[in-house]
Amino acid sequence: MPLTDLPLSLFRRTLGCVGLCIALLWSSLGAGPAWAEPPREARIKAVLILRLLKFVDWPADNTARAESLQVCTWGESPTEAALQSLQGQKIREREIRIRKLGTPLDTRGCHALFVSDSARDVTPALLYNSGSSAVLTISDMPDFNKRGGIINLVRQDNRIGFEIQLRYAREHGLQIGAPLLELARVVD
Amino acid sequence: MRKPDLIKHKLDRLMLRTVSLALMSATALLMLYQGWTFQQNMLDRLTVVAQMAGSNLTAALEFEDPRQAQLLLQSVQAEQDIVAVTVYDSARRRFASYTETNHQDFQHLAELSASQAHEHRDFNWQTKLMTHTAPVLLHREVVGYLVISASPQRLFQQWLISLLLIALISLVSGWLAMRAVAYLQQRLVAPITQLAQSMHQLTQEQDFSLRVRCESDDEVGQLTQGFNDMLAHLEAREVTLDERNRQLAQSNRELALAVEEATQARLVAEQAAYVKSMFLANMSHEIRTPMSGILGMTELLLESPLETEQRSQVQTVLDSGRALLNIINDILDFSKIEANKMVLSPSDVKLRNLLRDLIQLFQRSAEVKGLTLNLSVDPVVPSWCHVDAGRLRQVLANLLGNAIKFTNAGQVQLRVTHLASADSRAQLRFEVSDTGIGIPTAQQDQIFDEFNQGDISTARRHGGTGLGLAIAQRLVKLMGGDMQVHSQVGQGSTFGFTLELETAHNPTVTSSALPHQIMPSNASALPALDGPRRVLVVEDHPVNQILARTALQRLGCEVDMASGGKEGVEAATSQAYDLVLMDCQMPDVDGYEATRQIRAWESRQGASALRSRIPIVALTAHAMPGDREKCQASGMDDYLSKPFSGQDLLEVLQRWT
Repeated sequence: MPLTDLPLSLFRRTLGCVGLCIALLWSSLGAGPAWAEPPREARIKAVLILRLLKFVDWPADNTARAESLQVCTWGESPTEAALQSLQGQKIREREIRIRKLGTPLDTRGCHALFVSDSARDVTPALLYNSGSSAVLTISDMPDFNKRGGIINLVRQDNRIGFEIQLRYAREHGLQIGAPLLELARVVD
Repeated sequence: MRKPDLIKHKLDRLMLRTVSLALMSATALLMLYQGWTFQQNMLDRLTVVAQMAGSNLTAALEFEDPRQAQLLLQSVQAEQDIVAVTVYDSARRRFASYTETNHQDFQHLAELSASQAHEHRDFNWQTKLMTHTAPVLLHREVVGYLVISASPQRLFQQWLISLLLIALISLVSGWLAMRAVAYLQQRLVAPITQLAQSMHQLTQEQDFSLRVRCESDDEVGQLTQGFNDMLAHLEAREVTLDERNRQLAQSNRELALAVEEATQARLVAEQAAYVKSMFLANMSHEIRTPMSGILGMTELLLESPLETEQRSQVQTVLDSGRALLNIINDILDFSKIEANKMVLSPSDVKLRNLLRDLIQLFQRSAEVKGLTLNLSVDPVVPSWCHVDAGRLRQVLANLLGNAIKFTNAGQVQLRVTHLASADSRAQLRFEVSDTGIGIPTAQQDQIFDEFNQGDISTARRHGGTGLGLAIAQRLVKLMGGDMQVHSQVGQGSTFGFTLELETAHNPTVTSSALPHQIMPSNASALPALDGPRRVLVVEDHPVNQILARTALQRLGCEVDMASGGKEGVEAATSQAYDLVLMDCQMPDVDGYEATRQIRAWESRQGASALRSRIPIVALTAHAMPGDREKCQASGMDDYLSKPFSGQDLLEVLQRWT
């Protein structure tokens, strides 16, 4: 079927390119006084993160946490702050719970972990520790992928795209939806 | 003539109808099914495409990336039939669209109405496109809508090709079916046709040696076999029939020959009988003429002075002569009857007088034998009857004569009874009964046969020709009756017959001659004429001349004699006579011609003639049918049969002078 080939062909075509940007969001960001209101970009990133979660499937042993989707944060940043406001929203009938981690090692119960740019130094250890459990790690810090992160939010020109480290995702037992891969830059 | 509706044609029609109906139904059903299948496939495909495209588009919609969506939609172009795909976001606004290169004029709706925003299929008649609308779901969330428009054109083409193919298949299979039918027909109908042709040929030629070829052992074969068997039977039968016909024809020929011979023989026999009868009649006549002379002369002789012995001898001569005349008369009558020349001459007769005279005639012979002779006439019997008096008298006289002859004691009775009457016709029963010897039953049947007299011994004892009863029976039959006999041996016999006679109301007097009395026995016995008459007798025979002259003179007439027709005419035209007696057969000019000449002369005299018409009375010995008419035709007034009696002569004279 032609359509089944679609993601792969598209993947190949877009491989090496910056992931697709969210033009609408960015144009609205760019329209206003961009850096005057840093929380706006952060809020967009928060919404992006929320939408990303829609395309991710966690392994079955996480069913205990099924009724809610726990998004954990590490480090301080405007995006982290914006995420806090998403508390209580629902994705696939699961309630979003934002939990700020006290210690980076405590990722139990987390579906996703947002690592703020400010926590660049402690991240690798944290990431390796969290490798045992199926946690989708997201960050907007540069080279997050190279340091063990799965999804890296990248700012390019006026857009915010994302890069996905598929190998890590698979290692953590996470399934990333094919349509999302179409939009993302996939790093292997 | 209407063409016959052959089985062949019937089968053809039937098969054609069946095959075409079957093929057409099959074609139609196939087409419908094909169309439905195509459509179903199409819709299924659209559904799949929608699902695929939709699931691919979820991220683009979620992340509101129309460019990516547009890019993704390009992949649809690999799909055939799809003309356009329109993607709407969750707010039903157009988000992305794809249009196939050949359909660039396709109009994408800018917005999807709420009512259209659910999964459904449509056929747009305006654009002639099928549309499939489906929501795009991310998990259970509607993130957008997808509208796929597809052209059914290829489908139609495929369908058309299918149609052509099916039609082709139908045609081919129809043709094959008809070929099969034709073959089957050849197998089935050909023998029947052959059989029918053979039957036709058979009917035309009547050739039963014909046989129909039999190729199969099915029903037709059996039929053919049966037909052949029947032909064989027919042939055999025909042969037999021919043989029979031949035999029959042979028999018929023989029979026809036999009939021919028999007819010939019958004709010869009849001719012979006729000749015999004629001979007898002529002979009788020839004998009668001289007999008349003998008897007349003898009567005259008896009246002359004779010695007693001489008188006795002359009387014997007279009796013998009369007996001989009787026999001759019988023979003459019989001959006439046999030759079918006997004709009755009925006239109005006073029946009682006739009967009384008859009884009187036999009174003496009855007295001689000591018998009582009775006459009994029913009072109801009409006085006048229209009957041939002479023949009736002859019959009754015969019966009375026989009765007296065969009765030795007792009585003889003549009885006439009236049976019925209607419309001036009366049924009268005449019976003559006696107390005589009677007739054995065995002989009663033959008693009326000619030449039969009961038995030979009787004939020897009583004499007679044996013609009497035969003549009487035939005369009665001529008069319309039938004579029967009732008899017991030793008790007596009764002969009887019934006649239906016309009763006369306005009778005319006719002669009633008593037979066998040539001359009035004495003049005093007859009433005298009131004056002398001049009579001319035209007669060539000398004896008859003498007899006529004597008889007339005895009645007191003046007699002139002419011995030929020519002489007679001369005498009749030169002198005045009161009466002319004209013999019919004369050598020179016969009586008829002479009469004609006299009448012709009279008419020439015409009004100047002082004299009235001379009565001419024919004298004839013939008494044959036609004589009377012949006489009247020649102008004669009356008719006197020879031998005539004195009484006859007197009556004629009284009537005409």
